[in-house]
Amino acid sequence: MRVRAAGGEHVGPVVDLRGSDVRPQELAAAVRDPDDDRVRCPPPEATAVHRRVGCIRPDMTLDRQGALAAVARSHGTTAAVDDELAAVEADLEALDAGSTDLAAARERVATAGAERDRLRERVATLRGEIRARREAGLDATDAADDLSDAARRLSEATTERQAAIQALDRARANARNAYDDRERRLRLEDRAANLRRTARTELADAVRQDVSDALPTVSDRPLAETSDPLVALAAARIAKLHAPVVVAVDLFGPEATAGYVRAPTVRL
Amino acid sequence: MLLVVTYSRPARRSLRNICRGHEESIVRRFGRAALLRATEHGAFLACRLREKYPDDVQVERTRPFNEFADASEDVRAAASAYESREAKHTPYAKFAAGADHPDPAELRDQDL
Repeated sequence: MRVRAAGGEHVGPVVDLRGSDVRPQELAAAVRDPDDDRVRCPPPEATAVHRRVGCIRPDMTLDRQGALAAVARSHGTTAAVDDELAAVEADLEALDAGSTDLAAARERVATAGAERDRLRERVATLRGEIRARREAGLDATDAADDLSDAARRLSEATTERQAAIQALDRARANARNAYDDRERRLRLEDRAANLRRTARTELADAVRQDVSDALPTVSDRPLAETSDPLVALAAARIAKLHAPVVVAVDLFGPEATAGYVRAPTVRL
Repeated sequence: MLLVVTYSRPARRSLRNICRGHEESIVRRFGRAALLRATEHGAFLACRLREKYPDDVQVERTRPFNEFADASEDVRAAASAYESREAKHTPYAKFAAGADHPDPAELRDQDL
């Protein structure tokens, strides 16, 4: 392992950067990024379990089920539902649900309806005006022109409203198919989530005892009462880890930490 | 009432949160769907959900169904007769044929 940090270059399976201002998560990110030159280590690159327990900080939180399951998977352990889960995920990949967003079509109907109503009122008003003028013996030519103009526009608006309504009806019928697909997708996603939960439980159960057995070196409490960083440390020991582990908790010195974790270690 | 139906996990979660936070505007909950009051506030909640998930939220407006005003006498009579039939395993199509009630294909072609 070769670590370029804190103004120097450090080589070896154990690197001591205690007292430097290197941030643990930044270093862990460098470990996980094969293109980041600050940490060079032999392949294989960091795995899923490294993402969970490869950076041990005093303020970290640990999803215990997830971490234990990742520890199990790092040893190649599989869950009974893995095949079913893969099939469901493949079905999900293949699903391509169309859009159901009809806001524009709905707005067109609302606008067209409002315009038609407005013109209806205008026509009625103008009719009333014409009648009143004629009854009063006044010239109604201008009003009559306005009426004919408004009537023409009302006719156009009525047509537009009809067209808008029909377009919305068609769009709604199409959307029903898209909703069917989305419903199918939702059902598959729920099934995938349940299968993942089942897998996680099975895998976590498979390694819980081993992690528990590794705990006394770092904690004098049982697993359930031990803090997240210490559980992560024990999990790191049991995991099959290739990439260097960043340890920023102050339990042992660098050599002892590396010895416990059984992986290249950077102590911060 | 406003019927709100969600079609994705995040939309369903949001609906659940909305129902929990605005009980006064929620008439009934069904998991991934809910009936909201047809008030401006109900509309507001529905619109919010739609803004957030434009493709995964369906909103319909409901009216109370009055079978005496909205459905024909034939339909009411057929429903009543069918539910009180003697032969429990007779499907409606067969039952209708033998007893002068509207056949299901006809019924499907008629909008309310």
